[in-house]
Formats: sequence, structure tokens, C-alpha cells
Amino acid sequence: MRLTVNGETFNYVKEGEGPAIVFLHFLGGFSYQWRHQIAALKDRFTCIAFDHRGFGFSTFNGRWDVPTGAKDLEAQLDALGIEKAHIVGYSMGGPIALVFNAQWPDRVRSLVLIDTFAKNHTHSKARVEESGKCLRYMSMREYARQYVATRLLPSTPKHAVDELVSAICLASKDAYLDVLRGILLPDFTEYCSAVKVPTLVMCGRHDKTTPVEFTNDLTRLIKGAVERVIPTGHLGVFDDPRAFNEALIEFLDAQPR
Amino acid sequence: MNELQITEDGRYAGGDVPFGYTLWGDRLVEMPRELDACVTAIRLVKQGKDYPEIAALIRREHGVEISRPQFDGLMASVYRRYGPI
Repeated sequence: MRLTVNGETFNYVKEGEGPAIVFLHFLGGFSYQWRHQIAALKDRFTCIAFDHRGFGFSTFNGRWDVPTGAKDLEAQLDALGIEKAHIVGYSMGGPIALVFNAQWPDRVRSLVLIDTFAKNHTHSKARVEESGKCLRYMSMREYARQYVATRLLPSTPKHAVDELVSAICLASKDAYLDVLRGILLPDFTEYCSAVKVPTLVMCGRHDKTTPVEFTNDLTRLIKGAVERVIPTGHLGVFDDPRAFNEALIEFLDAQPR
Repeated sequence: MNELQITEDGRYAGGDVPFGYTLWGDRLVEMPRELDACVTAIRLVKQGKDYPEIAALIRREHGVEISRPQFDGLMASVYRRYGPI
């Protein structure tokens, strides 16, 4: 399905009945990577997953930063007639969820922040600069293959590795770089104190992109946040979908309906 | 080692051509076998292997040679992009 808001046409899926959950994917992913969670939750929730602008099958006509991502989410919920939702933000989706919550707190039932951060204080500037240079001559496919080789666990099945490479290949290079700049350089710490809803902060024990310490920071900054560490890397949705779903679903099912 | 220079529109402007690419005019062109070897090299580094072992495995599996400076250049770029792997 597609809808046009804020000058972009967004690809999305909407399945199920019940209180709404909105899934915000990680950098390089798109809505398809939420299929296992949607399948497990759609009998009791309305599950919605958008492709961020410039990723998956959404367009990229403008630019991207986190406030833009939050505004896109607000406009998408308006367009779908959804007043309030559980927001699940994975990696780049985390800062979007935090900013959205700070700006439109009445529209958030709960937050799930997965393998993400308030401030990414390691190698951010170098990563942005080197990635910018490489993406000027590398194809998205080769960039993706090298990224995946560094990030997935040796035990991750080959079909999951190939799926992630294919997903990253759908991304616009400009969007990818905008996201790196937009999430790695700013500090989102101030938005954490605005969180007044039940919050799960989840992380893979072997995550080297957003290590457990980043999750510990979020847990400390968000009053009442519950922390879960699972036996995965940064992309637990590929490394161990069962452990990933277990933690996520247990939290969502415990929320008032 | 001379740092690779790339213009905003992706043209080669000097420095060492990275392993996995060849220079064609002012463009870097992909060398598929070498790019496969890059992925293998990253995976092997992640497994704790060092250069001599990696170079030998790459020679055997991909039929290409990766010199020490090429290997160091590849890994320097990977570490700058992703931090610890």
C-alpha cells in the first residue's frame, strides 16, 4: 500500500485488528523485515510498518533528518486515522520514536527502543566521513555486502544475510547518508526525559554497532524503562528471530489494551 | 600509503586505488572476484585470523592476491565505517 504525505510517497503494510503498533525499521531495512513480528501480533493488534523515505519502496525527493522522520510519522498516522499507537523503533527508528514522543506525547501508548541510543558517542564523525567517501564510488550492493560481513553473527543463516543485502540495495545513497548524519551526529539525550509511557529498551549482547552501554544509558535516562538483553548482535531480527520476538511480544502483550 | 581521494560526483582524484576496484579513466570500476575476497577478508578478521592466513585463504578460494598494504587499506576503511567488528 502507498500513501503520499510531506512530498513523499510511502510504501507501508497494515495488517490486523486492535490497538495500533507502528514499527520503525533500522537503517537499510524496510517494512518487510517486520513480517515475523506482524505475523505474531496481528491477531490482537493493528500492525503498521512504513518504509522510511528513501528506503525500501518509498520515494526520496527531499532530505532526511530525525525531526523530518518524526513529522513523516505524524502525517502517516493522521492519514491512516490513527490517534495513538505503540511505537517500536529499531536502531535509526529509536531517535525517531524519541523525537515523535517528545513532540506528540498524547499519541504514544508505549515505546520499544531496540539496539539504539540517545547519543552515539563512538566513531560517529569518522563513520559519516568514510561512508560518504565510499558511497561516492561503491555500489550499494558492495557497501551492503561489507556492512553485513561486519555486523551479522557467524551463526546467522545465509538467507538472512542475503535478505539484508537486498534490502540495503533498495536504499537511496543520498537517503542513507542523510540518515548517517542525522542519527550519528546529534545528541537525543534531552528527549529521553519526555518519555512518560511504559518503555522497553532492548539490545543484543553482541551488538557492536550500538553496544549494550548505549542501552544502559537509555534505561538510565528514561524513567521506569525496562531493559532486556538478548543473545544477538545488532540485527537480532536476523540473528535470532525467536529470542527477538519473545522479548518484544512479552512487553507489548503486557500493555493495557 | 596514499589516502584515496574521490570527488563529490564519485571521480577518482588521486591516492591508492582500493582493493576490489580498478581505475578506468577517472572512474573506479568494480572487480567482482576481488570484491568477493573483501567480504571473505572481513569475515576472517572477525574470526580472529591475521593477514598471512587471510591472504593464503583468499588466494585459494578466490584466486586473487591481496597485498599487505591493500589488506590494511581495506580494514582501515572498514574500521572507520563501522568501528569494532
